[in-house]
Amino acid sequence: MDRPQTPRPAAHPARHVDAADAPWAVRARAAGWVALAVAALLLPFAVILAGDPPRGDPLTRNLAFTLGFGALALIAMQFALTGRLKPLTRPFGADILPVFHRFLSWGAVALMLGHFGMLYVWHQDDMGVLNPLRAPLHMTAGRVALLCFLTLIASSELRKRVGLDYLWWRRLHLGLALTGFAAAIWHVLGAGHLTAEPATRALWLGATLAWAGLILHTRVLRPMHQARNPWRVVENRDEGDGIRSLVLEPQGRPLRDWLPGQFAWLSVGQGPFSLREHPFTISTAPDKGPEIRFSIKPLGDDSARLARTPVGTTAWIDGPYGVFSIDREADAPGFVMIAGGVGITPILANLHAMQERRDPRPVHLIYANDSWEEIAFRRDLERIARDIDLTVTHVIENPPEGWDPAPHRGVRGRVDADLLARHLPQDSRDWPHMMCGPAPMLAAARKALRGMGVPLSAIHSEIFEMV
Amino acid sequence: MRPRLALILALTLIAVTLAAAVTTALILTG
Repeated sequence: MDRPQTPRPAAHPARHVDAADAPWAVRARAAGWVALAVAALLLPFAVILAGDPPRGDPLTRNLAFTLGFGALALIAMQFALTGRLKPLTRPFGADILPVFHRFLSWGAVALMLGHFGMLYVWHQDDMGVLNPLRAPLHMTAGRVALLCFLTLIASSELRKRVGLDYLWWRRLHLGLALTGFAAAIWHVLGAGHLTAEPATRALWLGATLAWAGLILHTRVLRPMHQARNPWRVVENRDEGDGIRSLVLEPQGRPLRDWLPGQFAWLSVGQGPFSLREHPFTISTAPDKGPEIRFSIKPLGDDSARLARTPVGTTAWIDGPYGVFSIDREADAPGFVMIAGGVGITPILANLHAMQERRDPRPVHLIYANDSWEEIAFRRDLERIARDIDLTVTHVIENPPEGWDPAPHRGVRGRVDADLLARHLPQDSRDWPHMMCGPAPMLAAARKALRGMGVPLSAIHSEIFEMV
Repeated sequence: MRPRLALILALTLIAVTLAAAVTTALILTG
């Protein structure tokens, strides 16, 4: 390389090497969590069988009850999945856990419907009357729980279609989840089927206490910690393409264990206990200092309000989370990065880290945008490319007449198999491919890369919208 | 981890729970 490089500004090592972030260590931790999940799901059944349960009932009645226990075990697990527990998010990625939570919730509600349906069809006597004024309270609690969980799923799946506001949806979700789980536990202990043994009752009471502890941690202790460590908005600047960057300065403790490319939940002006918080990528790198920058495109809900945040406003941060980081790829010989629009932000954070470290590894960035004039962070990319081995290919669908993307390359069109094959070097197939952008672009790029022989394990993407 | 892997893992855990529920019910029925 004969590019004019500025000297390395600080004594950063060129690569982040941490045994805990090595691929085998990440896979071992993920396997450990899955094993723990299986054990947690089997525990209620083991406790039932270890006791002295009544035998001889018809299979349909026994199965109806055991399906109910299975549903409850799956639901109890949901609180751990959505509690933003860092040890749990680290191997999987905090963006994928809500996806997992969604699929698992469908299963839980399916088992719950099985429990209800089998009793309804074959054992009406167990159900009693529907009228809550005459029915035992624990039976009404069971019906309330079923209703809560059905509403939870429906309100989450249809939130956008029915135009439910994000903040109100979060309030509804939390309220229904708390009510539903409490009602379900009341139902199980009140009905008393297969819970006569002290061990079984202790298990469910223990699960309830653990659940209450988790809620206390997520909704009270963590916000209290955030309240003691506020941040201040020190700059709000235009980055092009409608993107605004908020620069925040720590007023208490800065972020710990922060890797480039991670994101954090940002709450502005409302206090750390507010449910009005959103996940945003931190678009700068830890190597640049304790200040953090969120680059926000006002796409809807609260992001327009956040983009107008005045300088001096107090903010609260929960994070960092996420695994979209070059620091998980210490052994990679180079990187392919593919960004669409505002999806550049986590990629930019990684590039900032490489620039600060003068990481010598080659990076090929394919950056797709609608128009040339509105490309965000174009100047940042030019500056970074002076310091590291970065090749940028701007992909513009409708470029202006006679456009000159120098010093970078420019291509008219969209990110597709042909474009990737033409602009990525042959020896990059085994490099990590880090992608962030709109879902259709990611799907097209993933298919194209697979067709070019890139292994699945080398394709990493960040999910944009969690809900 | 990709969404498809999350789906496969979720289905596996649901299947494990279902299998445990059926096995327990069969043992109780005798």
